[in-house]
Amino acid sequence: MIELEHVVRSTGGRRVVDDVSFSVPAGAFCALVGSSGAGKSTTLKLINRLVPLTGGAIRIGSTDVASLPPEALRRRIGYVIQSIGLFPHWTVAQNIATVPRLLGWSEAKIGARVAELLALIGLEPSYAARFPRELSGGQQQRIGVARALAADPELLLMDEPFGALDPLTRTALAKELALIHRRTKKTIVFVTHDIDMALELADVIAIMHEGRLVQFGAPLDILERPASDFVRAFTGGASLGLKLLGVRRVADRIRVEPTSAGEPVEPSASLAEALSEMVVRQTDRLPVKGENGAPGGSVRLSDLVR
Amino acid sequence: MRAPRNAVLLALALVALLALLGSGFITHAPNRLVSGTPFTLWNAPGGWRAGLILTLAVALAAGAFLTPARHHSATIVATASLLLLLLLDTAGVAARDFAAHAPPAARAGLGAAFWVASLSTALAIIDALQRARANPALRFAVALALAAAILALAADGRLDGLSLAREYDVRRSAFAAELLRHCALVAGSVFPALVIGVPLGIFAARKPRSRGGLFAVLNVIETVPSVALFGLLIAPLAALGLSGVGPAPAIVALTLYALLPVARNTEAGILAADTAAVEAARGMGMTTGQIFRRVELPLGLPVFVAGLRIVVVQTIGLAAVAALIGAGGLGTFIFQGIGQYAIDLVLLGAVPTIALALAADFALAMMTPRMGQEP
Repeated sequence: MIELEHVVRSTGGRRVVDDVSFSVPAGAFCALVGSSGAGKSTTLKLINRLVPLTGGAIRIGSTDVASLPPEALRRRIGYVIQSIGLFPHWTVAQNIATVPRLLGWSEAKIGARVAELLALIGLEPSYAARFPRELSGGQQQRIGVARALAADPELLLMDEPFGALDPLTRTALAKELALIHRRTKKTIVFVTHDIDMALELADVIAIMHEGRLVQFGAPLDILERPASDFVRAFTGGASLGLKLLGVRRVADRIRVEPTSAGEPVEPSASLAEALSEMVVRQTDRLPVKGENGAPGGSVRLSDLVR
Repeated sequence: MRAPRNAVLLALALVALLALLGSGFITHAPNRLVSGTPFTLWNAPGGWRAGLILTLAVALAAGAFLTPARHHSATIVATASLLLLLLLDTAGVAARDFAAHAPPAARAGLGAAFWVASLSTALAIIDALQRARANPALRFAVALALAAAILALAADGRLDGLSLAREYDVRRSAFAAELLRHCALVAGSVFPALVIGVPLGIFAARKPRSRGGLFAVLNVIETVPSVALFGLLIAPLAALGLSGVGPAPAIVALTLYALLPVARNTEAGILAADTAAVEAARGMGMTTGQIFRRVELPLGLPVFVAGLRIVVVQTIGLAAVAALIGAGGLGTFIFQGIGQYAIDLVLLGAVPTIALALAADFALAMMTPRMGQEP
């Protein structure tokens, strides 16, 4: 768990982060969103003390971050940045092994960990001996994520990690990150200005505006009950309905009735996916698989707009 | 006929052949002051050697049509090395033969054909080593073997008949002293330039706003002609109670010239580690010292050493001019030679200066850390 309590950061007489408090449960994926200059990146850097706190406190588990030397703290926290920052003079394996080496792991343990992480991010073992300049941007950022996970940190901080990648690669990496999160159960704090990516990936979203936290909650919660006009405009605007379809799940709209013909959709699918299927199949009714062995049912077009 | 695979080698071999066929290989003069009469390779004594030289040169030209492969490059390096040594040995033999039948004042010098052919051959060796992507150790071994073979020819007395060797012979002790002096001038200027220039470069990298002014001043110094700077220093040094001639102004001037490249490359070296890598290093928990040793130094050092090569080569060359103000060094022979119109004496100063610069550049290149080393 990570807890921010009345966190303040001021510089040059201006409060860049102004009395921000929220807590992210262990294993949750938290997206920190807001327009540029909202203070989200600074908030992230306050957690690993790349930027010093002016006031308030931050705790990871029961440890106050101020109680550790900054280097020791950072070695316990994974860190991924937009500009990737791989070391160009080191191979992929050496890059991934950065923090384990700082922690003095044995070569055998490091080698095994590098192999394990390459598998996790879906790269061939042969990539270990390559240099960053030989890789595409997407591959480089995969290595960046592997490097952040190398010493098995309890917390992963990501500062617009996919911001510099092309849209296709960005979508692919976001999907992979969701998988990695499901598999590793790391607590993740993810800074982005892309509300769609936050809605897709996050368990909880913190929306910041001009240094303040304006709303904190689950994606559906934020879409259905925006705390202010700013949040409403920022999260949905004219396409709020479509975003809601993207967040709501088929499981919550299932009708227990004899299933109709055709390939059943997963109950975990979003209503947006269900709507897309209906359009493709030219029907207003889809069969749905049962959850955990329960009997299936169906979902109708009218259910989507309820 | 197929197109040549290596146009560079073909061109070099053809240039060498044309020079050997069309111009003087060795020159004969009644004394050291007048220009000699050129003799082509055919008319010079040496017997079978002329034929062998031509055969090897033609073989090199043919080598340009071989498919690019490492073992072919090795053959070309071996052929060219043999040709280079044979050119030198032939010149020595021809000169000795001439000296045996001529009065003691007569001189046998090296002709245009010799210089052009040896230079082309040396370039062919460098080109072949580069094409084979020879590692630094191998390049070093080839250079060392060639240098050793040339020194062995000289030590064996096979080159004694050449005018250059005779100039050396009468100045044996002076040569050693001036060579040492030259090295001392270079070391004595490069070292203070590092002591002053490295902090200036660090300052420029950390304080970008100061960069413009600092480099403007250093650039102006760099543009002052060397002879003028040596002269300009006489008055201020005399005011400080130092001699305006001799090594003091030379070292001051050479240091000033070295400052710009030292400071520039220090700055470039520091900026070589891109900010993203440094930010990532900090974010992953490296200490300031670890960031410097593991990230900034390995990324910046190659840039810095590349700059140091330029500084050292430039200073070795400029130090020759310092002889004008009585600082000594190999330039002494050059200016004596110009004064006496004795071209071989000029060569006695110039050839070792060039060799020194090449050797220093090569040694520093060997020391340049390469990307991809172990952390």
